[in-house]
Formats: sequence, C-alpha cells, structure tokens
Amino acid sequence: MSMSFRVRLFLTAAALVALVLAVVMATGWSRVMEFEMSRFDARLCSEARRLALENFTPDELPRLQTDLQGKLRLESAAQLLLQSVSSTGQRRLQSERWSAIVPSEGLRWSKPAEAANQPHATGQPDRQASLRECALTSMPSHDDTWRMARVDANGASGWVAANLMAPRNEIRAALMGALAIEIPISLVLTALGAWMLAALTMKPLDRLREAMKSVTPTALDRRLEAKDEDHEFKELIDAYNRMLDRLERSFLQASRFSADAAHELKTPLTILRGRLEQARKRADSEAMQDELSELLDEVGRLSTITRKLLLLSQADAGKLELHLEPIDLSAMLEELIADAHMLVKDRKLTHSIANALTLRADGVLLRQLLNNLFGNCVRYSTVGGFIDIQARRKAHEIEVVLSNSSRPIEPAERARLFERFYRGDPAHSRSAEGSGLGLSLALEIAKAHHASLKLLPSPSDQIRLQLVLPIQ
Amino acid sequence: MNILLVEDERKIADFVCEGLASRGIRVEHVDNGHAGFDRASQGVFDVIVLDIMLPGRDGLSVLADLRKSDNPTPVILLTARNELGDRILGLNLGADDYLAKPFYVEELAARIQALVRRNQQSVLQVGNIRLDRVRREALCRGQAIELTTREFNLLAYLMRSAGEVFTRSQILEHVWGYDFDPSTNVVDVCVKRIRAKMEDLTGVDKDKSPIEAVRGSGYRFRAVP
Repeated sequence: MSMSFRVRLFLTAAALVALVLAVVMATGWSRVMEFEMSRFDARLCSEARRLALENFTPDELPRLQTDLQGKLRLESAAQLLLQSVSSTGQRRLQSERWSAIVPSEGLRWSKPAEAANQPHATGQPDRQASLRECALTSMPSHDDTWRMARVDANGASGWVAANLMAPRNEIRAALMGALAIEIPISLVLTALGAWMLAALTMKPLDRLREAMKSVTPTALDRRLEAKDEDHEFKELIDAYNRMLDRLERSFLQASRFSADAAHELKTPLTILRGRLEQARKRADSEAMQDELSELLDEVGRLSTITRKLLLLSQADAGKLELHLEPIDLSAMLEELIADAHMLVKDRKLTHSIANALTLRADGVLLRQLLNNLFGNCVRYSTVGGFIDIQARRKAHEIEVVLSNSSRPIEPAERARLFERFYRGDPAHSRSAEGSGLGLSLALEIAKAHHASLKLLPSPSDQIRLQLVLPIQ
Repeated sequence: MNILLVEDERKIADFVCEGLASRGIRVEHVDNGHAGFDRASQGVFDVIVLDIMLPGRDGLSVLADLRKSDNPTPVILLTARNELGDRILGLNLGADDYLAKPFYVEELAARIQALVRRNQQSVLQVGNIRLDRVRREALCRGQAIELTTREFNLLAYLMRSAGEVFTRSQILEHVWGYDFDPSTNVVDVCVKRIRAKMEDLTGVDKDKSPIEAVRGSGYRFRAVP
C-alpha cells in the first residue's frame, strides 16, 4: 500500500526528532550519573578524612554511623562501613561487617577522577585536601557495588565505604520522575511539529495543484503565479509555465491550422462541386453523366470527412459550441429506426423506444451522433444477425443502448474502437467504407453534452453501445 | 424570382449565378459586405444569400444591421469557417437558414424556393401525383399513398424539379442531411419503397413509374409529356 507524501514526510520527521531526543536523553542520563557519582565520591573522601584526623573511640561507632548514614543519605546503617587507624597503627574503630565485605587484598585504588573540576571544592580547603589525599576503589558484592574511600593524613588513616544501591536509586528515581513528564510532552511536541512541518511543505504543492487543475484545454492561457513562492517552487512553477507556453502555442497552431485548413479546403470543394454539378447538367452523353455523378459522390464523401475533421478539431480545442434547443429524441430515434429498417432487410431489427423522451441538446450535433451510432450498427452487424435499439428514461437521464451482432471482436480491438481512423479489421474496412471517424466524433459530441458513451460488456460476437444523456 | 448573392469568391459566385439562372432565378451578385448591405437596403429581393467570410464587412454584421433596420427579407447564410458557431450566431441574429460549404447549387435552389414558398402555394402537382406539403398528404390518381417522412421529402424534392436528374448524394444530403453516412444505399431502398407503394395502388409497373432511375447517375421525376 502506498503512503501519501504528507504522511511519509510526517513519519520521517517524527522518527528523526524522536531519535535525536533519545540520543540526547541517553547521553544526558550517563552524564548526570557520572556527575552525581563523583559528588558522592567527594563526600566519601571528606568523611574518610574526618575519620583519619579525629581520634574516635569504638564507643562512638554507632553515633558516627547514624551521622554518616544521614549525610550520605543511605537507607540504613548496614549500607555503611567505617574503619579508622591511628598514626601508631592502632585500630581506633571498625564496622562489624567490615571483614565480611572488604577483601583483605587485591583492591585497586585510584585518585578521584574529577577532583580538580569539583565546583564545590573551590573555597573549601579541607575538602580540596581530602580529595588530594584520597584514594577510591570499588568492590563488588552480592547486592550491589560498594564504593570505598581511603584518606591517609598525618600518619593516620580513615576508610569509609558505602553501598551504591541507595544513591543510584535516588538519582534514578529523580531522573525518572522528570522524564515521565518530559518524554510524553516532547513526543507530543515532536508529532505536532512534524505535522506542521509536513503541512508547511505541502502548502505550496497544494496551491500548485489547485492552480494546475484550473488549466484545461479551454483555459490554456492560465499561468501560475510564482512571485511570492520560495525559490525551489519558483523553479518548478517556471518550468511548468514554460511547458504550458509550448503546449498553448502548439494547441493554438493546431486549432488555427484545422480551422484554416477547413476553410481552405471548403472553398475549392464548393467550386469543384458546383462545377461538376453544372457540367453534369450540360453533359449530353449518358456515359459522361455517369462519370460526373460518380465524381460528385466522391466530392460529397470528401466534404463529409472535412466536416467531421473540423468538428473533431473544434472539440479538441474545447470550442465545440452547443446551440441547445428542446429535442424530441423519441421522434429522432423512430426516424433513424425507419431508415435502418430500409437498410437491413436481412437482419432482425428490434427496438423499444419510450414515448416522449425529450431533452435539451444541440439538434444538429445530436443527430450527427445518432447517425454515427446507427451507421455503425448497420455497417458492422452481420447478415442474418440482429440489431436492437432500446431507449428509456432513468431519473434525470435518458439511456440509449444499441446492440448488434458482429464478427468476433477481440478485447484489444474493442479498446481501440473509439480511436480516430480506426476501422477494425483491415479486411473488413474496405467493404464497410466508413471514414473511421464516426465513433470518435460521437464520443466528442457526447462529452460536449456532458453525456457518456461507452461499450458495455458483451459476448465477443456482439457490440453493445450505451449512450447516457442528461435531460437538462 | 429575384436573389441577391453576396459572395467574394468569384468562382463560387459564377457557378451559383449560372446554376440559379438555369432554374429561372434571377441573381444579382456583389462581392463585398458594404455593397451587400447597400444593395440589400435599396433593392427588393425575394431572398438574400449571404457569405459569412467577406472582405470589408463580414456577413454576420451585414445581417445584424439589416435586421436592425427592420429589413424582413429572408436570408440564407453560407458558412465555411467554424460552422457551428456561425450557425448559432447567424440564427440568433435572424437568419432564416444556413448552408455549409461545400454545398450543391441544387440544394441552395431548393432552400431558396422553400423560403419563397413559405407564404405561397403549398401544393405540388406533376402529372397524376399531387403533394400537399402542409397536410403532408400524397395523392396518386386521387387515392392517398401512405408515405413516411423521408419518402415524402424525397418525392417532393424530385417533383419540385421534375425532369432533372439528382444524384444519390444530392438526394441524401437534402432528405437525410449532410451528416448521414454516405456509404449506405438508403436512397435506393427508399425510392424502391415509394415505387412499390405507387405500384400497389395504381398497378403501374416499374418501367413506367413516375420516378425514373437514370443508370449510374441517380433519379429523376418524369416530367409530364
């Protein structure tokens, strides 16, 4: 299934913005985590220094633990480990679970990563000192990673270790809280923005399309306005206008040519016909009269073709003017059926024409149309076959259906029946002697009347033509 | 009968004058629109035959001014270029008939006579055949013949110029109109039917039928001997 350009544009823009948003959020998240962790490291260092410098006694351990739990914002005292050793090497205090969690060796110590960059460090000498003298390490354990700081100062040492679960959870909760609001809002904004972007992109195209629609064969002189458009569209409009120029020029040339040609042809045809008529009247031998009569008939045929070509060229230029008048279609059809009766003695002719089918139409053109359709029926129906004419009123329309038997006609050939100068099988066209313009002219006349003329589906050895005429 | 022909193409004017004159119609010819309007305003004509494409002043403007000056003379327009538009405009301006080029002089003569006859006698009689154009009745030796519209028109066309030969194309164009498929033999069939109807009624056999086939050429209505 093909998506509309607008939808595709919208989806692409939305996906792109969403992707950028995701990248920004992911990098932002890791930066925040990093920053918060280094601040946590600095606090650990500062507490470790305090343990190294002050002479605590084991009795003070519970108080210290409570104090540090608060400062480091831990969930319980069990998430905290302390140890202090004096300058003489004597252990001042040690948490109960120390030896269970801290391995006796294999710890790899590092200096605080961004000690110098800590904004809080400026103006606080003891904190800076604590960072300088501090060493940090991470220890994996069964519940989460522990982070431990060690400060050696004045020969004494202090260790503080904290389980990272609590601070991590805290940051995560804070971030999630913020994102829970931000993500939907930014997604909605993204969608909105992408939709507006798509609409903005489509706007000149919509305008262009509407303007293009107004250009028809009858209004080929219309041009699109390019003045206030962006230069990309200006180029498109210019290219389109240039194409219209060429089209209009050739169209005008073609229709002027056919009008001129018709006039240029008609004058000599009139003279030819008049002279032949006079000559035939004056001819004294019968043979001469026959000869001239045949010539007159040929001139008549030539005149008919010229007339049809002129009508077709007028239809092409959208200049087929209609002189609408009330028409009694029933009477017109009855007359043509009477003609058909005279012409097809060897075929079964049936008809059913509703009474008083009247409409407003151009009488001359409508007669031409019906003549062409009837001519077709008579010419292409097979000896021993049938012709059937039906006409009836259908709501605000009149439907005329002409059916006749024919030699078998392939679907490919059916599709070409309305083409100009198409006369079906070349083997049959000689005997039929049509100009091959009848159906295409009938179609143009129907179009000018806002009527439809089409082939109805039928067995391959039949032709069914349906003409639907609006009454008004 | 007196006709004014306004036509710039000399060759066309020549054979129209000659053709109409041979049917006893007097023709005065001018070759431009200004002269056409002047003559039409001054003289008394039965019909004016007016070409649309004229040098100086076109036929439609001549027609419009004639009607504006309350000149009621019937006008037949001759059209060549953009036939449909001219026809509509012409009929709206008050033309009585129009004829598309190329036309038969016979057809022009028929149209002229039809316009002149409008207020004159409506009965046509040749020999023992009598046609009443108003009541559309045909009588043969006093007995009515049932004719279709086409058959009646064909008979009337031949009878009006009895003795003259008409080709199938001429008959087709007059009776069926110039847009009828010229490849059909509808004229022959129609003539055959008229003859058959007369024969049934009168017992006159084919060789003595009033409608005579002229071998190869067409048909003529036998003039009364």
